[in-house]
Amino acid sequence: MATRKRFRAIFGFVSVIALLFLPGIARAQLQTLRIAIPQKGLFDTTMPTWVADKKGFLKDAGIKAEIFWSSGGAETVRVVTSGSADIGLATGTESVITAFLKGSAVRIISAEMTGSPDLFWLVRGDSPYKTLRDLDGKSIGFSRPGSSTHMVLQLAAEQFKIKPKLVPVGAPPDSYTALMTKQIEAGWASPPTFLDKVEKGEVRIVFRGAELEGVRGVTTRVNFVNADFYEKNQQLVKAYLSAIKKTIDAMYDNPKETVAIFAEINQVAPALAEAGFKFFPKEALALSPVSRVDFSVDLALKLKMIDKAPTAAELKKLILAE
Amino acid sequence: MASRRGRETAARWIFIAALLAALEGVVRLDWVDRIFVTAPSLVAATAWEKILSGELPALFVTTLFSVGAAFLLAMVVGLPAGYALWRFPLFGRAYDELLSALFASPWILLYPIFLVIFGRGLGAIIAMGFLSGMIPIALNTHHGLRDVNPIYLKVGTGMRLKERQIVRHILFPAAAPMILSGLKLGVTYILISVIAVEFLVEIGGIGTLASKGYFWFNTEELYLGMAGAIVLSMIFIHLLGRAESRLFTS
Repeated sequence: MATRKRFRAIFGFVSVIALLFLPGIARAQLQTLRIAIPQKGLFDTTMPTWVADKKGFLKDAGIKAEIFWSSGGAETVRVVTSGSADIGLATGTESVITAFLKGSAVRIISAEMTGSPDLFWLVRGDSPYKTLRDLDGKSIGFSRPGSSTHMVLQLAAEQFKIKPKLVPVGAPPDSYTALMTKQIEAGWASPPTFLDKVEKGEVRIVFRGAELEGVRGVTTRVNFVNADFYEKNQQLVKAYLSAIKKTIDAMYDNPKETVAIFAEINQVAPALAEAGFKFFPKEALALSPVSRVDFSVDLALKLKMIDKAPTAAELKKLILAE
Repeated sequence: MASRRGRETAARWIFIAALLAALEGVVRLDWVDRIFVTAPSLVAATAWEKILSGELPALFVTTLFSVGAAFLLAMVVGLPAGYALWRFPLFGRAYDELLSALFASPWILLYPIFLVIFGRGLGAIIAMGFLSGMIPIALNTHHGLRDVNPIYLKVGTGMRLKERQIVRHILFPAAAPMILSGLKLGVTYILISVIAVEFLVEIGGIGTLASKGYFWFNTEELYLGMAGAIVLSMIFIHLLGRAESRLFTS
């Protein structure tokens, strides 16, 4: 009897201790994933991982996200290549191909953006230009050489048979400053930036990336991983992608909640966030397939980012996604 | 037996050659990722290719022009400003600390404002370079003149020299080492400013080459841009050094 009592006491004590330490044990089981995200606040780059973290989908997948904000493109690639971050998000497909061919140990794990519905170009409210066609020979801003804005603008110039002067202006705030101070005639932006100015009539949209026929169905941006990290943590990477896929589904199943989070991140009115959200059809954010890679390769060749196209074996090594 | 100058030159180049050889080896052995560091031989090959195509000379001349114009403007304004700070001690005391504080500020952050004022062109780059270089020139001129031994001035006054003669024959020669240090500092800061703005806004010379190299993963171009900046710096410092030695031997 005494033995049974003692056993119960010990069992009770151990249970209490276990309950006290259980959350800690659970936390200890989470694996840290360092993620480089370009351009904080942009819908496609920021929202999936942010919402996944907020809704606990990453935790459910055993992941503790450590987020690095980057200015995008080359910076994201270098951060991942050096091993400072494990995964890089939303980087131009042609940039990742170029980096890989020049010796960067990266692998594409999924698509991030298909087409270019998010980008748009603005003119001043008092500008005489109504469409992109009117901007033949005029100066139009894009972010950086080799970026998706550069790509879209060049393709748009081809589509509309115009020859604008392309000016690298940097991020949307720099683009807006350059536009309003008449350094350029049209500047780029991405939702929700400057949609309030559009509403007030201070600026007008003259061109949307969605109008571009050439990039429909093309994976314009990808998510990628450090090759060594992937070798050792394939399951973790796959778990992250599953969590993101689940998040994207949830985001489009609950648009009100998504708009509220989007507004909170960007500190804008919900109506503005909603207008921005409408730029992104769900299929544009699909993680697979990584499609029309030939398009990105041709673009990299055309821009002289690479001297020769990658072989089929090289592409197979680079692209781990479907 | 080698001359002292020869030994100096040898010591300098042996170290540099050893450093470059080590870098070449490290890259060739694949000990570092070529996206971050590249072999000096590959940079040299890229340089040769771009010299033949005419691209590198054109970029070099553009940066040289921007640095030269900014330096000239910085001298034209900085030297008289330094003199005025010495000539009117009240202003000297009032503005010296302020200028020193400005000198220590990160001017480069103001580049968007310069783009607005001067437009997206060489004007903005030269204006940024001018401001970066003018302040050390003015400050060093002021300090050089202020620290001239007052006995020299008394001797000049005793010899009934006019103010212009005192300035020309006593003040400036006595302050020359400090003024020349200011000019060297000025040209260094101008070069940094010009290349940094070229890199940021992708207008102009070798800074643009480095920028393109960085964003398009052409590591050779990135290092070529940096090497070009070093060469330009060497040219300006050498020219100032020659001017200094001519000044002191005449």
